[in-house]
Amino acid sequence: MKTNIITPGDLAPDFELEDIHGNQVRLSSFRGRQPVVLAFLRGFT
Amino acid sequence: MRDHYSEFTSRGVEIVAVGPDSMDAFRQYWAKESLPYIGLPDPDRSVSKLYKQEINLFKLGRMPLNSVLDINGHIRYIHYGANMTDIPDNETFLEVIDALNSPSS
Repeated sequence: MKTNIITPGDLAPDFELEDIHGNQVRLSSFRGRQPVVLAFLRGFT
Repeated sequence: MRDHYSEFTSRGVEIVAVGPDSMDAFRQYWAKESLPYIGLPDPDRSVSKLYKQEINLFKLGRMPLNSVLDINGHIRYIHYGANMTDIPDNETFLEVIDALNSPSS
């Protein structure tokens, strides 16, 4: 389970999701613009 | 992180939060908590899987996973939570960001 974890130095895998306002957000769109704190939540419930 | 959002934005950093809940649950939670940063529902867990976020085996939900990406999109810090509450404090993130933003880095 730990064999393929992401480590420092890796290029962050890109993805696109719809945000709560209905905008498509692509992670790579921040490249060249600003650093990102990327958090994966545990779930609200 | 909400109460410290300005400490991130003043450093030129955006916060992006991905979670397993539905769009409706996200919208309700973001409104209730007045969260200022980007919230991305990932109900089919495709992005969670891409990042190898671990499942909590005993409860429904996911183990927290937190990371800092530099301006080129490379991972500079990543922390796979060992339990549901294993989330780095804001100072940890800000130290990483300040190191990234320092001229010598």
